[in-house]
Order: sequence, then C-alpha cells, then structure tokens
Amino acid sequence: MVQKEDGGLMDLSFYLPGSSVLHRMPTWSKFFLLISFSIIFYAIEDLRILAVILVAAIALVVYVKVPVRRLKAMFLLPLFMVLLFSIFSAFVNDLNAGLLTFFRLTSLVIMAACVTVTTRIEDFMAFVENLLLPLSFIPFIKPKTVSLTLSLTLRFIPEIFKLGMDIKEAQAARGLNSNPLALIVPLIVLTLKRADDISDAIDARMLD
Amino acid sequence: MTLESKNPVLDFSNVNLLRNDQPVLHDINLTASEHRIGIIGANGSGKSSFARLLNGLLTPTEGRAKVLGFDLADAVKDVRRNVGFVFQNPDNQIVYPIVSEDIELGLKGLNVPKDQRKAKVEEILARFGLLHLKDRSVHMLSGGEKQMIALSSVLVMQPQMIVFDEPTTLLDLRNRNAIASTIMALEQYVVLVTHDLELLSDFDRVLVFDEGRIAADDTPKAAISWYKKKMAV
Repeated sequence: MVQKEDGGLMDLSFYLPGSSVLHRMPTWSKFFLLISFSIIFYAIEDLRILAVILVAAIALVVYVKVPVRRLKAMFLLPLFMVLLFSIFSAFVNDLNAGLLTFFRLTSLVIMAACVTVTTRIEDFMAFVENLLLPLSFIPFIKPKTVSLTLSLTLRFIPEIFKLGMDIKEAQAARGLNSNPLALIVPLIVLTLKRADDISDAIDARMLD
Repeated sequence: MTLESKNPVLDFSNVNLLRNDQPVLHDINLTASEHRIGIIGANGSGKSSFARLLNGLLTPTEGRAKVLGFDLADAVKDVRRNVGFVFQNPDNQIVYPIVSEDIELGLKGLNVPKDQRKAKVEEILARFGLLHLKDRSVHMLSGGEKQMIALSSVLVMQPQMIVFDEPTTLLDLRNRNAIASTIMALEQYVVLVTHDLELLSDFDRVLVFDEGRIAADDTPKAAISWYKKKMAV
C-alpha cells in the first residue's frame, strides 16, 4: 500500500476492468497456467529461450493495457527483490545463473501481475473458497470465512493506514510527534473499536 | 407514497436491554405500523441500541420484541433477512474493495445465481445514477458516494424495512440532501435514528429517547418541539 502524493490512499485492489482473453479466462485456469509456467521456466536453462519468454511477458502487459502509473506501483518492489536475488545468485554461482534467475523471476512477476489485474477480487475469493473446499472437513478451516477474511484484509489495510496518518497528524498538532506510544495506543484502540463495528455490519448484512 | 400496515411492524412489550451489565433500555412498550418512524435523543439515550434491536444485532434481555411479525427471541435470521441496516460510517459497512463486488456479496449469501446478481447490481446502481462507479475502488469514493453504495448494498437485498443509524452525520450538505431525498423516496418501512431534526419533518411518527426510555412519542412537530425544550434545560 502506497500513499499517493495528493494524500489519498492507493488501494490494494489492482483489478482493471477489461475484455481481454485473460479477463475472460476462468480464475482457476489462470492460476493453473501460472503455476505450470513457474515449473517449466525452472526447467529451461537456455538464456535465449528465457529472453524470448520475458519479451512475451512484457507483450502481455501491453496487451492487457496496464497503465504506467499502475505498473510502477505493482512492479517497483517485486523487481527490486528479483534484482537482489539475481545478484546474490550471480555471486554465489556465476553470471549465467544470475541472468537465469533474473529472466525467470521477472517473467513470472510480470505474468502474476497480469493475472492480478485481470482477476476480480470476488473471483479470486471464489477460487480460494473452492480450493479450500476439500479441506473443510477440518474443523477450523471454513472456506467462506477464509475468503471473507482475505477480502477484509485487502479492504481495510489502507483504511488502517489512513487512521494511523490521521492519529499522527492529530498528535503532531499536540506536539507529540516524537512519541511512538501516542500513535500506537490510539491506533490499537481505534482499530479494535473499528473491528467491533465491522463485525456488527457483517452480522447485519448476513455475511457471517 | 405512504405505506401503513394493518399489523404492527414493530411490537415491543416490556423490553429491557443490558449492555456490558449496564441497563441501556428500560421497559420499552411500543406498537408501530407507520411507514417512516424517526428516533431522536441525546447521546447515550439508548436510541442506537434500540435501532440495533430492530435488526437483531442485539436481543432483549427481558421482554418480547417482534419486528415485521418475527420474534427476536427465535427468528433473528428472518429479522435480518427482512430488515436492512445502514450505519453511520459506510467505511465499516463496505467489506469488498470494489463497488460492484461489495453490492453483489449480499446476494451471494442469498444464493442468487451469478447472472441475476450482476443484473441486480447494475439495476440498483442505475437507479441512483451510480453505474459509473461499478468497477471503482471503494477507497476512491467520496463520503456521499460511499453512503449511497452502503444503501445500495442493503436495498439490493430487497428488505421490507431499513434502519438508518445517523446516516448523514459524516456528510456535507449536498450529500446530506441526496441521502435525505433518497430516504423519503423509499418504498420500504424506514426507521431513522438521527440528530438532524430537519430530516424528520415529513415523517409519520417520531420517538424521543431519554435515559433508555421512550420519553415522547408523537408527530414530528410535537415530538421535536418537546425534545428542543428538553435539551434547552
């Protein structure tokens, strides 16, 4: 989650409405392909083939029409991590191993991003629910609860972040900007109060 | 449009309510069948607890309470199915990050088929001129838009009654007016808890809560006048 320059909050839902083939594919098939590709890429040792795959992955981003601003938010951190892994691999093994790691992981990150922007949260949650269904005989695994928890997490992390910013601002106005307790205590209290209110709303909407 | 039931939509007798072992409602006796009922009172007077009883979020500690004919003692699910609740802060009510997904969520719980769900979501958004927000992220909406989405998520489930708990408190004047006219146009029974006394001028009946009791129960004009005198003391 990133705070925008205008002070607004960028949300964690990266879905972009559209009608591409990826948008229309069932969620399970996209995840199946992604997992299959991640296995196949690790079987490929030829840099030229991996370079072609990377170009194809970039072409996929263009095809799905991901806006540049969104690209920055989605790729900056993962690509930095990929770069670190690749450099580490090059040092531990050799340059070829580093390049293989870079091509494989970058292609996968780009493809995973394409799956993210073309999959609605609701479809993803339904996919998670179906995935967990065979495990529902285990008493503490409730697929519906797990999917609702995941969606609540995506929905409320930006809200809690905003709450933290508001508290920080209010405490700074009182001259308490260097006191971490002045931020943490009200944040915990207000977050718990908020959780209580959200729980009421979930009950009222019959989502429990 | 006016709607008035022959059978009482709210039927409370000798209802008492404790929260955290503290009494918050005392001896509530009420029979109501009006289309629009307003509830006012000072902070801590018990009006929000009363509103929560209407949706089954709370159940009486003593006494009998029936909403739309369903007894809160043994038919809470029926009460929730038929009574929608709009909270003061829509941010607590909207649980999915995308507008259409959140509105669709309630329908999913009612096992409405997917193609019908999509159509119903578009229908309710179009009704309020909000279709352009369908694929928008909830975080990007204004307070007024969020409150309208929260109301849409309740209305799409076609409840018979909607309870509003201070729905205009966090809104600017334009959004407050938009919500007010939307409430007045609703076909469903409406129970509105508010500090915005102007909102209630065209209501059928207003209850004034004071220290957990119904202290006045009258037409809007008379009840508001009583409340203003009480608050002036």
